[in-house]
Amino acid sequence: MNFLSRIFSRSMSCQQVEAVLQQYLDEELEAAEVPKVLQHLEACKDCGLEATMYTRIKDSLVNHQDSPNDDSIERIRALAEELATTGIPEGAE
Amino acid sequence: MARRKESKEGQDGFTRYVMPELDVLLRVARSITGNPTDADDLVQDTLLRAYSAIDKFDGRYPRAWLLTIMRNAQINRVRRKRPELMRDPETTLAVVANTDSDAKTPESLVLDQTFDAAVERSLATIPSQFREAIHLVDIDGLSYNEAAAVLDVPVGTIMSRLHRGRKLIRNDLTLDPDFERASS
Repeated sequence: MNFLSRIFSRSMSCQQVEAVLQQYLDEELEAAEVPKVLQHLEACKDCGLEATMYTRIKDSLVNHQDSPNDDSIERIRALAEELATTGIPEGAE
Repeated sequence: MARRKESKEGQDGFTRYVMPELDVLLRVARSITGNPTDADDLVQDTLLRAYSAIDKFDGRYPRAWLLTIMRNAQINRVRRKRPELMRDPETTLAVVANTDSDAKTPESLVLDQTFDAAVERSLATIPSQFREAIHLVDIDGLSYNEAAAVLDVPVGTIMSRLHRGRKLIRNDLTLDPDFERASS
């Protein structure tokens, strides 16, 4: 097997990349697969653009995160601390 | 007032495993209830259940454990409000998701002409089971395993719903005039 054959045998097709792209973007892909996806995304313009598009969508969704307000956080934290220190009031379950 | 207290180990476990997850619990509760008041009540319910069960918890994957408790608590809450849903948890969660959608789809949310607004608008229009998976993973930051615990579905189902939901958004954006503007 020559050098180019070895390279191509390790690389992924567009179809294979599409199948795992979401896992790659979510950092849920097996570590061994990540370099192969990266290699393909760097070499293939279409898949690279597709990955960029999905990354932008993910970033946009994170920006829309509606964080709980401080009052909610404080109230829940106070309840949790109360449970952790003094237990559960009878009849509260 | 009389109080029921868990063992010292249980109380330590509650502090160690539950306290660090409060922010996540609140965010996920917002996603599955659709409003802050119900979310606070759901988290409170979840904490009480977690406290009662802490002695039986083995310490592995506390977030997934808490999210499973939250999911069951939410199903019970919906069943109390909608008794006709007693037999079908999937339907129950779908109703929850649809309620969420009804609360968040007014055009007033997306008047500005930006990419983010186009994404949000598209998210509101995709089927609820896809939106739910996207909300839990992209917005609430859960792993696939954790999202699967919340929805009580296999991890493969989460992956499939994410894939299909994001593809719908992606395709929707290419047809949206705002996308052209935002990307130029």
